[in-house]
Amino acid sequence: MIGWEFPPFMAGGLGIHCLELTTELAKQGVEIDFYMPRMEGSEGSERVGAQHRHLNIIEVEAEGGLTPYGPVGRRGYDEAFNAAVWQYNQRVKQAFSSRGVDLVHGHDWITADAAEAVARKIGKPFVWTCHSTEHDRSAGFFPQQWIIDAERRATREADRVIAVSSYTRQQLIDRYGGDPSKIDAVHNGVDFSKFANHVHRDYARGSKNVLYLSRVSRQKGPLFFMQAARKVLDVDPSARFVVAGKGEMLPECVEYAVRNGMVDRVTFTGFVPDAEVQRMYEGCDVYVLPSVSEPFGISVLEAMTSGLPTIVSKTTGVGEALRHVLRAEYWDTHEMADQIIRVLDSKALREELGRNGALEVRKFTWAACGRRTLDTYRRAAGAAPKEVAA
Amino acid sequence: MTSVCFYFQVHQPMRLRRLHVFNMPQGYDYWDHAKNRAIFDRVSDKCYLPANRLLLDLVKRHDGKFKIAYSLSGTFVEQARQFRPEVLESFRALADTGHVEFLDETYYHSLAGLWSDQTEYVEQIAEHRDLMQKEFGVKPTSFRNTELIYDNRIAATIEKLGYKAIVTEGTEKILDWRSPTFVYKPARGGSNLKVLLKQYRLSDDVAFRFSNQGWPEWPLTAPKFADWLAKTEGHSINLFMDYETFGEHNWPETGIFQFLEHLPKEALARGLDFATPSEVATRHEPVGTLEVPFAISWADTERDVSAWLHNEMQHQCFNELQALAPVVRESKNDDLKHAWRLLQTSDHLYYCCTKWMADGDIHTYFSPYDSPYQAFINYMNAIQDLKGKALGLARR
Repeated sequence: MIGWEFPPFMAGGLGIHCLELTTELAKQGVEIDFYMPRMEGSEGSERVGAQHRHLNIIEVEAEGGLTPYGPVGRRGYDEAFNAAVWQYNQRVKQAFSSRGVDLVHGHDWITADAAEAVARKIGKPFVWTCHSTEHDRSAGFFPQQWIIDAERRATREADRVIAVSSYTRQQLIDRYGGDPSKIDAVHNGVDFSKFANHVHRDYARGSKNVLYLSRVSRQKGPLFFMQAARKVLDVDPSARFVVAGKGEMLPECVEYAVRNGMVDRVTFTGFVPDAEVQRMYEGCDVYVLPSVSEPFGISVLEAMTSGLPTIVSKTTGVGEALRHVLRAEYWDTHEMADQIIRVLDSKALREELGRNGALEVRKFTWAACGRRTLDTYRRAAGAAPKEVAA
Repeated sequence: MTSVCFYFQVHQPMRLRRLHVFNMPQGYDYWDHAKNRAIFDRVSDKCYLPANRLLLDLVKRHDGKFKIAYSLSGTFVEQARQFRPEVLESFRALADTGHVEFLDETYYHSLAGLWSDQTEYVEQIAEHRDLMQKEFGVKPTSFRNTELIYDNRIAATIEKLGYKAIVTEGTEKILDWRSPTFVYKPARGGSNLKVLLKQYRLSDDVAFRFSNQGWPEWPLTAPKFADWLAKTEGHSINLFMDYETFGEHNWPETGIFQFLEHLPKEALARGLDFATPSEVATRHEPVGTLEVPFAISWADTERDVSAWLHNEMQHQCFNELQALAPVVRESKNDDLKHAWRLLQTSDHLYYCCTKWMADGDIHTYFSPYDSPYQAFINYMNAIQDLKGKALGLARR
């Protein structure tokens, strides 16, 4: 398996995914060599993943520490980052050991080149997981062509593709001409042990707080949240809004609040440490994620775990598998505001959404994710591996 | 002789249009006229008109030996009047044969029978009685409550109003080992009221299983079904179902109309006869009493009122509407009262049902909404708007 990050060195959800997935696969008897860049600062300190005995971590010399997710304050990735990715892929090819390998699994475009190359070299199946597409990350705003090309190529070349939702699967089919018969949608899981069970939340005690807790970046649609907030306040001036997180859209959101006379109704908290997140959930009546394009949206499940009623955009992958949420188009702030107003106003609605939602998210387990990934492996192994390219 | 007693529920709700807090109507026009018309058109063409034509022909062909009964909700009649008057004409033609019974119900197909104060319930029944007189020149003597909802209190009210019979679900919850094919009476009160119970296995064979190719008895033919009827003992085999069974829930290609066409002669040939609910009630004395302290109905596997009153959202809507009664009454505003009553139609609550697992699919099938939560939001928007306007009138 070729990854990019692994706990404790990580910047995005990919590290968690790889940890949980490899743990479940190992339980099923899969032996894993896990390639990742050697992180700056990991020298001398505790070895990456040393506490994990379920897989063999192979660190590759590369300029790590750069995140492929959430370019903050930049128009996408700069040359240094691109070079680091290229270099990493070359080093993985050099370091690769084919001993006992039956299948090669790469995550996202940042590992696709190496994963494809080594799989072809040894004539074994190539499985590629797409956690998000360049279209999602840029929200259609300055997508980088070479990344799109890498994703399109991986979609075409992989023997089987795993998409983190049917929504993303459809994107691969529509945008990259992916072959529907070889793309499986496999949902992520949630580690519920990290979240207190708040099914005993007191729904009668409405706080009138509406929570946005996500990166404040274009992809997540924070400005749509602000516009919906303005509409809610027109009807219910007692509502309050919390924008928790940082990102390149933060200044624009603050400016919107100032211009529209709602500074006293909106709180910008900036970055929220993990320890504070639970308190945020407890202090709010409804969680809103108006993502423009969200491959999965694990934060939705985390909020629901706490019994928090949730509103998600129809372009949020996880929404496709949820019944106990409210859904709206990300641009339809009218609809979103209407939903928020009713949730704030009705204990019954909060309670039904919250209680049923908290139960519903329990179906998203990493065990299920592992099982379904293994199914994909089996399908890939059944399919005749492609010829080694000259 | 055992009789076959056919009764069909004919109902269409007035569906709400998508209401946002931001775009409420000036008055009380909350309805999705386009959608209501489209659905009414579709069901008229697939069910009401062809089924009425066939049944009229059968009644005439069998010279009064084949009989049926209907209950038409007021919200259905209003939409028929507005969208497809020929549908009303075809029901009138059936009424004119003298072999078709029309039952009373609440005009608005509401749950007012479950309210603590029965005033509203009684008024809605009176409104329906007037409608039947006006549209079809009939004076119903039997009663069918919304979705066959029934309990001791409803029975008492209906008896007081002078009806001969009431029809409800033949669930084991009230029957235990007893058969639904006999006439019963309520356990309480003086009770001249006869209770007719739906034989739900045979009814559902036609309504729900007819098109199911996975059902071992598929295909169900008229001779086979008539054999089953002939083997059934009792006063009457009560086959109660949604009228949309014919042509809408079971498409014409399934052979449902051929089944219906041949059933009367097959049944008559086996020594059965046909009777309407009031005829059955007149012919037979009760064999026992029914004690029903909690409400039953014909809905879902539970056969109770949980399809409409299961979750908190449904309770809130139900309570809000009920609590508005005095304000609406005081307003003396007919438009307000009409809208308030249209909102009482049980379907609006049905759309808010969250009992997903077993019966949820049926709810989804019948719902114009994506989710019960969206249904609730829209419904509550209408209720709150109406409430605001009603309170505004009251203050004036």
